[in-house]
Amino acid sequence: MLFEQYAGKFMTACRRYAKDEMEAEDILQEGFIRIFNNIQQFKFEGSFEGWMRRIVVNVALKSLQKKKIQISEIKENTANTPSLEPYAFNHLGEEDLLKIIHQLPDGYRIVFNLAVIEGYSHEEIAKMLNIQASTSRSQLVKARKMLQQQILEMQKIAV
Amino acid sequence: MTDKLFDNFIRDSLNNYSSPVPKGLWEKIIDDKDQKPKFFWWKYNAGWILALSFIVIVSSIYVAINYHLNNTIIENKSTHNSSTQPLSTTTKSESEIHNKSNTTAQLPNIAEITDKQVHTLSNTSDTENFSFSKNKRFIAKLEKRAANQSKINTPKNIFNSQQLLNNSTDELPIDDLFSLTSKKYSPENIISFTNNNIYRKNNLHWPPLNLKNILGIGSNDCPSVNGNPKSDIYVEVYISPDYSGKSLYGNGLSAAYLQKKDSTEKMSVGFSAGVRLSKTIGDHFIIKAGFQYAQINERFAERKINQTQTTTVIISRTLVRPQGDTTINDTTSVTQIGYRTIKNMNYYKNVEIPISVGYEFGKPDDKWKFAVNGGAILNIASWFNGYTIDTAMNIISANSKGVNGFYKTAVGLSLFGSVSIIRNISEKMDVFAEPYFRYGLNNTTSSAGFSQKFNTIGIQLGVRMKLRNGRHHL
Repeated sequence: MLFEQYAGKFMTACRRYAKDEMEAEDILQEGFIRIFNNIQQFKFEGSFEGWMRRIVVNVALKSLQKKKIQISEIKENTANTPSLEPYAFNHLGEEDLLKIIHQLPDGYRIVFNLAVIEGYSHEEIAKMLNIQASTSRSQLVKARKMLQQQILEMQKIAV
Repeated sequence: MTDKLFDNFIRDSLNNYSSPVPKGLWEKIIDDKDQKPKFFWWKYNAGWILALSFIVIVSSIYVAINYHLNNTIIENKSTHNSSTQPLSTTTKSESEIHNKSNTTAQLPNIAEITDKQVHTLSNTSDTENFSFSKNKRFIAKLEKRAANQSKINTPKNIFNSQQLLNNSTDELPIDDLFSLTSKKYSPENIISFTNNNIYRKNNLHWPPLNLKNILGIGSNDCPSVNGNPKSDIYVEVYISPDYSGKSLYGNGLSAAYLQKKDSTEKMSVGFSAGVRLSKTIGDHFIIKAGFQYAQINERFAERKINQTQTTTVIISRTLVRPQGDTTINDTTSVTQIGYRTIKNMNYYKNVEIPISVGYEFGKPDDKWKFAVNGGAILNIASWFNGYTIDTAMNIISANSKGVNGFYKTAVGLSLFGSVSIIRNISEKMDVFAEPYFRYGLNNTTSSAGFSQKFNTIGIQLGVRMKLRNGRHHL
């Protein structure tokens, strides 16, 4: 069944965008309703999962826009972040990653999700979020830096 | 580690990771899916529906007018068949014509019109200049032609000759009578000229575009069989369940605000009720005007986050001890942070004047009748009660008086089209059902930074009582 097969994966996507579990659940619910209502519009061009995922992501973005999330620059305290070594990821599970992504500021988190995980270009993100492409780029750079810092912190604690 | 490796690691880790799905989510989805708005088809097909409605209404009006015109021709034909009978038998000598006094001619034939011309002349000072010898041939030709026409007796000829006879404006100017034999006013040209005026394209299917004739209020109309004027007057009382669609357009405000407003306000079923007078014009046209009250309902629901609620709890415990039980009451408070959902029904209330023109198919005494109608609805008063979102995204309680400049107190004009199905149930009473579509031309907002319009579909159900019976009732 469609729901059973994809609900878990899409729940992960919703959790990446939402502020909390309840909101993620709402997004997933609305996403599946839209999928079922518009399933006849799928033209068998490209992956079906990709098509469904786009719907869920759009619902998530719409939900975030309703909350009037401002994507603004945040002043960085640390100038340089030490480079991560590959072994730094050894102890990191998916839940840990979700947790540190979740700790990102809204703008960073959304741009990071769209660019890195969904694979949208900065121009596409700019259109979707009604921001400049340059803003999207800078948000991604900062999000990445902040995530790496978080991973290093977690690594220190683990050691 | 490069950024690309870092990104790949995150993507690979999370792209296929499956999180636990909350229990009962599938049931919620099924429930919600079943409760989707019934008019979702309108959202996606509004353009097609509007275009189709327009085509249907325009076609109906075209067919109705054609139908009426053809009926007019059929009536004319029957009139001519009876009146042209004496045409072939009526001949008058020159002396008879000459000696005829100023009395009104009785026979509706060519000789009559000639008499008329002659006597018009005889009453003028230019009589002496008139030469019968010149007109003799003209009269003879006219008579001959009339006779030929009656022999041929085709509908076209009958119609032409009758139009010539009846057309009082075809009296020739006195000065021009001297040149009656000239080519300009030869009988052929006169008839041709008359016919061309009657039929713009010399086409039997297109009689004169006389508005009075089309509407059936020509001066030649006979009164109805019961002696009353040829029109019925009805009073109609109706009520209609309505569903309105709302269009929101930004006018300086952010898309986020419009989305927020759109998501918090969902249209619901409203209603309208009214009373109107209708009067028939001719056998088929009908005009209506009246008053109606229309109410558009809208569900408002918004979740307020970070709402704090403190509850005081009294805990009562009993300690069992050898010297006696002791009851201890302890008071504590629990603070919960959550969200609060505000739900309300918003009302847009309107008092309006609907004015329409319709065309009714069928005979006045038919049990079933159908009509197409079109017209305008003039909003004379409008007010709002309910909640809305202000530009700072706060929930506000609004009404027309409280929030100046948010909603108009008189919206303006709407256009509407409808199709009526009428069932006669007694001599004086009909019931009707009238599905209609209403298109709002004006905004309901004045200076709120956004434009809001309503389009409505509904079906008016009502009764109409006949106040005056004037049409042909068989």
